[in-house]
Amino acid sequence: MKIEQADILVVDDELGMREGIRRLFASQGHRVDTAETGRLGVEKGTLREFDIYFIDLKIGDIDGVEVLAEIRKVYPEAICVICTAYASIDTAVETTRLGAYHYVAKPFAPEEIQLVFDRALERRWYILEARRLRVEQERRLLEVSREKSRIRTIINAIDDGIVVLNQQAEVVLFNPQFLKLLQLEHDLTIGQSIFEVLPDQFKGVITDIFEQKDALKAIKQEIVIQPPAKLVVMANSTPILDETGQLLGFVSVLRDISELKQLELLKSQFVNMAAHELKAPLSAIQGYMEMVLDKSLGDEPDIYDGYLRRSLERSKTLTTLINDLLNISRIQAGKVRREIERLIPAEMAEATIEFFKNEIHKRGLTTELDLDKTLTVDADREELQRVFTNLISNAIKYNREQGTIRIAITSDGRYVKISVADSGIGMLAEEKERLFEEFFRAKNYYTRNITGTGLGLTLVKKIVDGYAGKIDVTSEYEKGTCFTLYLPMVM
Amino acid sequence: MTKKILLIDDDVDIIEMNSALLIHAGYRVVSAFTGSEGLEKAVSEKPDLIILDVMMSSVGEGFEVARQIRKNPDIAQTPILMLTGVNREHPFNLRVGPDADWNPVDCFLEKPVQKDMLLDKVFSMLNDH
Repeated sequence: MKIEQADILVVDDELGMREGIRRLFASQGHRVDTAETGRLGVEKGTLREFDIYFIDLKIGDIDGVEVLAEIRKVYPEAICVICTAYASIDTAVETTRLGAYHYVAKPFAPEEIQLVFDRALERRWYILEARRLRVEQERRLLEVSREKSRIRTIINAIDDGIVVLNQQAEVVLFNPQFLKLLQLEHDLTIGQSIFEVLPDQFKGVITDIFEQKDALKAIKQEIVIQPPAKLVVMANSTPILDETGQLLGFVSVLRDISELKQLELLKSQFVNMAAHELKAPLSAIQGYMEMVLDKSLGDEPDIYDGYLRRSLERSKTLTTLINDLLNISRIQAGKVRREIERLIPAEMAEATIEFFKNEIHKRGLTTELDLDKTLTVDADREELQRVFTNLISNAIKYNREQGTIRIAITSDGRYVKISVADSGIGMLAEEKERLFEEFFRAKNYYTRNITGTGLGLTLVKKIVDGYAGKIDVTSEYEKGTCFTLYLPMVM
Repeated sequence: MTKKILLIDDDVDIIEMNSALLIHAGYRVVSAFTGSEGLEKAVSEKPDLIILDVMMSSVGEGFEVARQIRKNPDIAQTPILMLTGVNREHPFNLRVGPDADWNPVDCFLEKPVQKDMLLDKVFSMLNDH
């Protein structure tokens, strides 16, 4: 608590005074500078800050009061001791008003000025210490505010919604994502009770947290903000405890799990549809079998032949359905291992027509082929074969008796264009729209006796999509349908 | 007089077997393959009983058909027997009774329906009305 080496300026026109003070304090290890005129005193005294100023009141050129004023103007905390032989109450009042620290009447004994000096130096120390603390405090405040803004930036950048509550369930901290996830239109105010703003679904969670005070643990809960799965958040709420285990508040982290929920919903819809589609042929087969075994319609054996044939037909559909389901699930899981080779679609179309020739003959269908055999595509043979099989079998199934199947394989320079057209029953606009949906089958007067899985075209589309191709459909009800595939051409 | 039953189902085999069973049991049967065809026939044929499949081309189409039947005063009193393959898997809250306005059917049977069960139900529903 001491200044070991003080800087002192003595402003006095009397050499004896200057030297006397200089010698006295220099011998104590202090640095003493002097000025013999008022002007020089102002010049030196304002150039840098001295710890203590001794200023004579009556100097030759300018008044000591003025010197004092000039110095204090630059250094408002400067410690100035006024020395003068013309002591009077007036000057004492005047110099004190101007901020002089003390007043010493000349002549004075060294002990006298030493006493004033010691106290002045102590005062100076306090001033410097206060100044240092002020600077340090400012630096700390700056640091704290930087730290706060860093934390705020981090919290705001997090994609999850965050809210921190105190014991009274008042908001301590939150980020914009929190408002967004709970669809709160108004901003929150720090200190506001969370119950004023929360949607009802979430209030229960907060109440639960505050009520389970004995067994404090994190609570995870799904909250549906917009049903059924438009906006669902997972709220993970954790108590904040002090070092003694006392509850200070809670932090809730909200994560948007809507996408996950939507996928779950789609998945469960798919499973339901699949279950229904698997059950339908089984119901038919079981019903027929029961009739056959019970001889429900009488003892004549021939009357059941049709039922047995239909049962066989439906069980075949069931097998196809299961294969289609497996293929779709493989494509969706990205587990298809494609063996890409150069294929000539024209040859595959011809082979497929050959494969179905009995069915084509049975229904009296004519085939018209316009196949460019020079065109090639790079694809997996099995997949491209499935595309041809599904499209041509549809063209047979959904055709009319004595109808035609037209297959053309051409090119527009960039894509190989494969079109399969029939002269069959066609589709209504609303049926065409849902054509590629899983399990969708057009149901009308004409389609009642046609079996199918509702997955054939879904598969075709998924396969074509896998080769960056596309599929177009034109159809006219009761006239026919044409599927056109575009597959990237091998140049 | 022989009672007339309307079968509405999108599965041609279910229609085939049920109509064979019902005809064998002495009923007259008309059938419809779609919901709209079923509604038309319910009006034109004035059946004594309608056997309706719950899920046709879209989920719950059968319910919609039942509602439409109940809305038409000419046929609103026709008893409806609903066949369902989805009773367990689907979250439909199946309530029975003409007063339940959102799902106005009289009875449910789960597919595949046992022959005797179907005939018993049809018999009792026709004689209750």
